[in-house]
Amino acid sequence: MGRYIIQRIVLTIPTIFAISIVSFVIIQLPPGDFLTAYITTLESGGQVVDQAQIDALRNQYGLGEPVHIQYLKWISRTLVGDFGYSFQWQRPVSELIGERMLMTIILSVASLLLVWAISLPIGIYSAVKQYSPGDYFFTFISFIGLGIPNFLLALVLMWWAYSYLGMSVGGLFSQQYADAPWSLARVLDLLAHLWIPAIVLAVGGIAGLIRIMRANLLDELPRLYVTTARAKGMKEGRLVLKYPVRVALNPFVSTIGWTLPGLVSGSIIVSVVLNLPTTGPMLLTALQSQDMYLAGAILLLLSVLTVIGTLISDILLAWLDPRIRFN
Amino acid sequence: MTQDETFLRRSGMTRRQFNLMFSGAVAGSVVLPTLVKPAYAQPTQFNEAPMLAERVAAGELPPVAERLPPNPVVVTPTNEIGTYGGRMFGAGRAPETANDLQIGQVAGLFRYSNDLNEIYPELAEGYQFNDDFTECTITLRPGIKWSDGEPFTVDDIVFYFEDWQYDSDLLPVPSATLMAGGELFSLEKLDDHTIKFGFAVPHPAFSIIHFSGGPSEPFRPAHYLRQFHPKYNPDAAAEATAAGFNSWQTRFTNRANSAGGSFHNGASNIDMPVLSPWIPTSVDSQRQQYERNPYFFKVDTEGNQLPYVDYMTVEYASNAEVMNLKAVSGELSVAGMDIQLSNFPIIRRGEETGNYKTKLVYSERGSDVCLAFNQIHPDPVLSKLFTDVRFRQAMSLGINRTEINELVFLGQGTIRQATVNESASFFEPRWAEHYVAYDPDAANALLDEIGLSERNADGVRLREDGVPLTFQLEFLPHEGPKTEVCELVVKHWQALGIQVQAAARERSYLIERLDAQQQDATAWHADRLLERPAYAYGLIGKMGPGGDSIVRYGKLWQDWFNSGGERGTEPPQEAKDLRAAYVAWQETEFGSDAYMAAAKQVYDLTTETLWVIGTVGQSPQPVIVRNDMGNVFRDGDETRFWWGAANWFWHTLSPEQWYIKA
Repeated sequence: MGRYIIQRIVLTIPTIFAISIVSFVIIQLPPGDFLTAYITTLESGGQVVDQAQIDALRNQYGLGEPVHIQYLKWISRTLVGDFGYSFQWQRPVSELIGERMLMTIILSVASLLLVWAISLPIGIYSAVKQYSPGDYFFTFISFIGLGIPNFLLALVLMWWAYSYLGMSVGGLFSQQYADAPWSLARVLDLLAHLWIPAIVLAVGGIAGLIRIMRANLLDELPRLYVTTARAKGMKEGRLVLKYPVRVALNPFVSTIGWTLPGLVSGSIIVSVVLNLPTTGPMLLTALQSQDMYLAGAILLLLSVLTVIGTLISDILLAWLDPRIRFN
Repeated sequence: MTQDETFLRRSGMTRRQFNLMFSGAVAGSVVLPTLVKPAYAQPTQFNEAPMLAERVAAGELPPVAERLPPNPVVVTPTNEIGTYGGRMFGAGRAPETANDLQIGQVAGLFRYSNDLNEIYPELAEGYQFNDDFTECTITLRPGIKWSDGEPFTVDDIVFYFEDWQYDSDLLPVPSATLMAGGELFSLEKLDDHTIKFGFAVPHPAFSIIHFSGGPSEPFRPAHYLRQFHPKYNPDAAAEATAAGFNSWQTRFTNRANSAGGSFHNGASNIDMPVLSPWIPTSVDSQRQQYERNPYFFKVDTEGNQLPYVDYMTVEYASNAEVMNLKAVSGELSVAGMDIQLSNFPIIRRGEETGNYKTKLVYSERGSDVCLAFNQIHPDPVLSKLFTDVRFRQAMSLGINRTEINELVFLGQGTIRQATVNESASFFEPRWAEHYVAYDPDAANALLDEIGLSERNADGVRLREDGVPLTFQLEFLPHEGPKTEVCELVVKHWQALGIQVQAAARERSYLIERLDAQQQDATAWHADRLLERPAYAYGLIGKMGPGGDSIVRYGKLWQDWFNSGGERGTEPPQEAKDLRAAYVAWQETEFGSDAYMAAAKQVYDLTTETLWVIGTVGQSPQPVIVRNDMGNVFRDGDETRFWWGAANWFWHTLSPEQWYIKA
């Protein structure tokens, strides 16, 4: 086991390195760079910018150099924790990401807990009472949940919350609490706003997990060990939870690896629609305006988290399920 | 308007009249306009906001009389004297783009009426050209202080030019807006409050006087920024690297609240002192916060120091729908820049619950969507077509502008060519009417005449090499209903037997295509077409030879002009004529007879060449003003308000005298 863990950890280093190269190259792929895009933005603010001036600035910002030189400069600074300055925000990248990290994690954890709290019991119920009216009902609902694009749900809920509940829309706080220090009132205000994004983000996940849980459990229920336990007179409820459910949990554990990067990226489109102060929309605008240091840092962070998440779920799986081999 | 402040100089006044007015004041070598006609008695007693009075009492600030200049600008409130206090809320789209509150509050050397025809003194008290317009002397109002209490002097202007705009380490290529006759303006400090600019050629169109293309701030706080410049601080480069910047230059521009040499609307550096009514106090990735500037140099007619409002918050909205919904739910004190006309019905319906009022204002854009054909197209057949004026005339005649106006602009826009605003003193209606009538028969006849009479089985016209005539209308789907208009235009052109598609492009990609002169036809808006910006900036604007921005239809001509014929492509005679006409116009005095004649020459040429084809201009723009906001618009004022007059947006409404009603 120990050897297995060390092996996996060592393997992550070249993986992350390779990912960093790929993401840096991808950011550079679109034509032009931040300054090209910046000209038209300035135009809308009514400023007159000369093309020649922009060309000259390109060198000042190091954008005129070949990609591999730019990459080496970037990665060597990143390794010592300096992510550089965002072109678009004109502020240090680490500060920008830091500001949005807390809200991103709160939101993602809230929606993850919601997904698990709702989908696990329903999934178990659906499997145990297969083809009952309740199963049909939940199956119907979950297929609808899978089918609705969540940005659409976000728009509808936002409009509904504005017109019928009179809620302030977009963002996670009302105006008066936006910048206030943390207090009970502010937490309550956050909770009052958190439910829309949490529901929207959770709906797709809930629907998917209900289906997975149901299918896995259905695979396990007819197994002989279940029959044996039942024959020994074990109570049905305890039996289901103690044996087949535990086995059926495997896929949940292996998806933990994907939830970690999800904590950072949020669900980008939903966050944009709902104007959430998470890192997702920031990544999107950074990519659009070719703000390469900001986009690069977020992408790198995402890939590191994916790799770490995968590592965690591999280790958890190995621990949870002895059948998984160490080679 | 609110700027009933003493006026400096009316539009249309000739130099002779002007000098007559001041003949009594001649003393010494420099003749400067002094205050002409104080509309109101100068207040002698000054009051201040309660939050500042507290700080004075606590000994943190000097008393108000010491903070104000001895001769502060007196602003007549739009409706009534306001009350102090409160917070204004606004929203913006992204840190680097302009937003309602932030762009409205920038202090400039001069101030303009809404149609930009009148200039009022602000940070500067006046200006004076010499007889042959090769020099212009500007006097600053004495005693104005930066928000940290340091005096604002000519040094701040000299620093802006010599240590930034002209410093080849910082900006290797200085901006064309700072040149006359191809040479940079020269500067001479006469004393702390007087500066003389010199020009290589007569330059009455001096951009700093007529400038209205965005916040006019040819100054920066030298006392603060010197520490970032190696000329004043030998360690500047080392400090920049230590702070995580690429170079001292990128740190300097960052600390000067700039990116890429121009103003950064995100106000990324809150440490830099300002002259505007509010100071940025915090900036993060979600919002900008502002607080009143205790040293702001304006008072109302009763001597109350402005601004009235204590605080401002500008929140970023990640998309236009959230922005519009925020406005409708009454969260924004004022909103306009990102409010979409297509949402007008929803916005009107929400007035009562959202507790706001809507007003329609009008864009100063000569054409909200204008079209231009690449004049140096790599395909010789298309190039021959696009450079034929009859082709462009046919394309203009083939557009059903009434339909565009009804479907896209609620019938409230103006059908016109992309030309100067009718408020210009020299305006002639024929410029706006040239080939705007919808006449598909005449258009078809013209197309037949230029050799496009053959058609294939699908009715598509064949080019002279037998290939169906196909091209793309490329545009950026930003800043107004470009997509909707382009799709209609394409439909109209297809009816003429041309296979044309509307193609929304990604920003950088389209710019690269334009730089390489590879586009077919492009669409954008034609702005800065009120009189003064057209005069001061026309040559390098969208209606100048070769165009600009997304309608840069002749970049290679511009390369040829700029390199003195070494690079680029030699332009046709009309383009040379247009350039010469602009240059000649800029050498005539604003409002003089020669000026009128030269302007006619310019717009006759842009009209005849039809390089830029207009569709619908001066479109309506809904703006929202919450009911608790006072002094924003004059009560009962029905005059047409030019929205974003040369991109100043709320500026001509003087946000410093807005107040929040109890």
